[in-house]
Amino acid sequence: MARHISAGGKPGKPPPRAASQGRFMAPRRESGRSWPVAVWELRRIVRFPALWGFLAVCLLLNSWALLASVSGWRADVDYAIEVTQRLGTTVDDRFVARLEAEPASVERDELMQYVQSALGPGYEGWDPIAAGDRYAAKLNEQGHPHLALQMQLKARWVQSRARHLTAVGADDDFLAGRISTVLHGAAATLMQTILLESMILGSLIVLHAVGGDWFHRMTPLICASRTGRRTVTCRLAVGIGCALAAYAVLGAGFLAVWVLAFRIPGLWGANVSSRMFGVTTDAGLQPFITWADFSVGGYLCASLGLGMLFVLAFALFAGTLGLLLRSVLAAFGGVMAFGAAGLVAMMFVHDALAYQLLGIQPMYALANANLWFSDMHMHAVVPWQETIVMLISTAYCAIALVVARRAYSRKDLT
Amino acid sequence: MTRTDHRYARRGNASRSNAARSAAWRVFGMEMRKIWRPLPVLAALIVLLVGSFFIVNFTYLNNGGADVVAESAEFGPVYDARARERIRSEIDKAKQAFAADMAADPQAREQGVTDYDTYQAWSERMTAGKDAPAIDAYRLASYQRINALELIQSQADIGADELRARLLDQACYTLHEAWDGYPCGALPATVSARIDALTAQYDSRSMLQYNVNLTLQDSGKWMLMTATLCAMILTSFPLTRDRQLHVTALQWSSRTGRRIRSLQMCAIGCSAALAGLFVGGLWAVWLGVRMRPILGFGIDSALYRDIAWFDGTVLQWLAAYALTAGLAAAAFALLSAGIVGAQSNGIRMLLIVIPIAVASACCVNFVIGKYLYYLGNPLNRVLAVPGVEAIALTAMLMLAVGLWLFIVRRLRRRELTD
Repeated sequence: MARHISAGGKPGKPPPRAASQGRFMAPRRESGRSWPVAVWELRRIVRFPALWGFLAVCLLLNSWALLASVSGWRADVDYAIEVTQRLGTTVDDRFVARLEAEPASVERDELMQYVQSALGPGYEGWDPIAAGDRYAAKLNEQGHPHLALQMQLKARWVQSRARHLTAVGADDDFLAGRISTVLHGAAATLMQTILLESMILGSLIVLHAVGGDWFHRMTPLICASRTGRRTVTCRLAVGIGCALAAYAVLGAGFLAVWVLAFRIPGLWGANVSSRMFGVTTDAGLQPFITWADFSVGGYLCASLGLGMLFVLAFALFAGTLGLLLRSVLAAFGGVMAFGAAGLVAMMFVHDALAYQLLGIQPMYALANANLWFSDMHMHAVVPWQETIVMLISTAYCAIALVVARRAYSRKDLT
Repeated sequence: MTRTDHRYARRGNASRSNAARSAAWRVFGMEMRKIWRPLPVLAALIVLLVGSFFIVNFTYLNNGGADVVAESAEFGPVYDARARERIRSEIDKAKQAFAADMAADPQAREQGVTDYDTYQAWSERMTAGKDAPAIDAYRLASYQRINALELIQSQADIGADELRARLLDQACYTLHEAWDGYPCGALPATVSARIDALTAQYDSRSMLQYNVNLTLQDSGKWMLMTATLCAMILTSFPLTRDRQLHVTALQWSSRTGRRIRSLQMCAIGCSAALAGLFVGGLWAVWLGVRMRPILGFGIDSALYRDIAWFDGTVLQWLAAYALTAGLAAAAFALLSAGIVGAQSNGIRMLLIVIPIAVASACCVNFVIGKYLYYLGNPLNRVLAVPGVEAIALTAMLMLAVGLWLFIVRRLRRRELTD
């Protein structure tokens, strides 16, 4: 029996059938049995009103937060719409000349001032190697010469990316003019909010799926049979799928509100690395150089994709703890403690090496959501670091879940 | 009925009442034990640990290496004539030290800078582009000392009328966002009275540095939030757990058991208040140790412009913050537990508790805890009275108690057929 249980759901050699249990233990059409379980599990989750209530509250809160965060900039959004309709979406000499000829207004003057004070064509006024040297000097001060070397190497890659972006003319895209930074900040903050909400909601959904038998005192019944024990895999799969679906709903809500609220012509297709959008760091104003060419729409979709990995990692971790611990509350507490510890490490650790080492966990991505897919300045030493970190995190959470699943199968009375 | 019968009846009633009271106490103790179980306590401790990172991060008692507490205590508890005289003599000493530094600097000698006054004149010429920037005085301790002392003088050494005008400006800005002479209309009588009182005690202002008040406000706000969340986590579990363990039927089978909701309300309220007071007390002791030299100093500082509603020393304010934490914890936890009630499972409970906890944290962060007991608190725009935060929390506590009484009454009227 123990050998069979350790098979972890794989159809193995059936145990000798006792006369009294033959009807219940017969492995008839085993492959087909998981489907009704999945449907029932799905039905159980979908018919859970508190989940829908939570989802609705999150959607309302996110929509309000996105609209409220830019409510003070409405006049600038409207002016950006007017300007792009009349002057086009490429900030070149012709654009500047035509902007100067526009009727004088506060918005016109502010936009003109912004265009003139931002980085020039081809990111003029910005030296990626000098910025890299500055970061490297800080790392050397902290006693991490190897990280400093890596940072200088990264600066060269950034330089080549900047040359490419200049060559294709992506640096001259208008984006949303002087409120490009505001819009990006609002999107990043909302992304963080959605990730936190999905982390909580996803974990609860997975724990509801895994620990449902515990609430209904069905555990002894389920664990009494091989088929019963096998249902946990199906329940886990449905729970994780529903967690991702909940995230997808929140992400879709965010995109819908974004598209409706900011109907600036050309914004969706403009390159996110435009010189109209800068990030202020220790090394001064830096352009937002991404490792691949991203339009604003593409960037938002890619961000939501990376967020999916984040939610998946936490859903897998919640499943692991749900299988290992007997209490769903303890499991949820464990998930939250893991998240809180990661976030605290990202917020309060100042040593660069410790930051990089402690950053191999999902909260690294959450803490740096405003810099995803870019060079991330001091926060990253290799390209695509947030994506790599998320893939690693998801991988170790998946391995933990597989191990926990096997341990669950090996559980015995003793 | 004879007199003896009456006596026995009275004795019987008294013994029944004593028995009921002792049973109620026993049940109360059991409810307290149900709340203070290892898992919720562990969860609350984790919240406390995370909150303490924020509390420490929002403490500004080491301002760029300078010891803010020592600076606040340097010239005594009150900014009076003696303190003014000491500051002046310290400025003179610092200027002498600066002159000695200049004498040792060949660049300064070359530029004809011999003391602080000639340095100021040279500095003005340099700003106008007439001299080369040759003297680096900013790194000199004597220069920094002069600057710090002159800053204190410029902020604190003002007359009572000037102080009153500044306080009025501050009140206008806080309540009506009117500043720089913009007409702000009539101020509430309570605010005017407070400004009069502060002006009247002009000579008893302390010299607490700006960062001391800011530390009290910012780390105090995070402490309040931590205390509230700890209390809510601690008290959210028992009702749902009772229902999960099917204890309700057992409870309703006895008279004492039917009164369980009232006792649970008391246990939740007491536990939450205790948790809040524990977190608040821990914070007050930690900060009190760091602020030991200035614990007896008045909170009304000559170097801080926001208007405190109350006088009192730093120690008294720390105690007030800790008590407010207890009150906030009890109010929010009772309200939350009343709304959540007994859910059929832990997930359902969490799905309700988490939005309430987030709303409570926002309420504490942006409303109750912001500039606590100062005019800058947002509640003062609605009702400008001293201690409006405590009044709001008490009202919330009353609301929570009312909710619980409603729940108790509703349950008492329930029948098998319901």
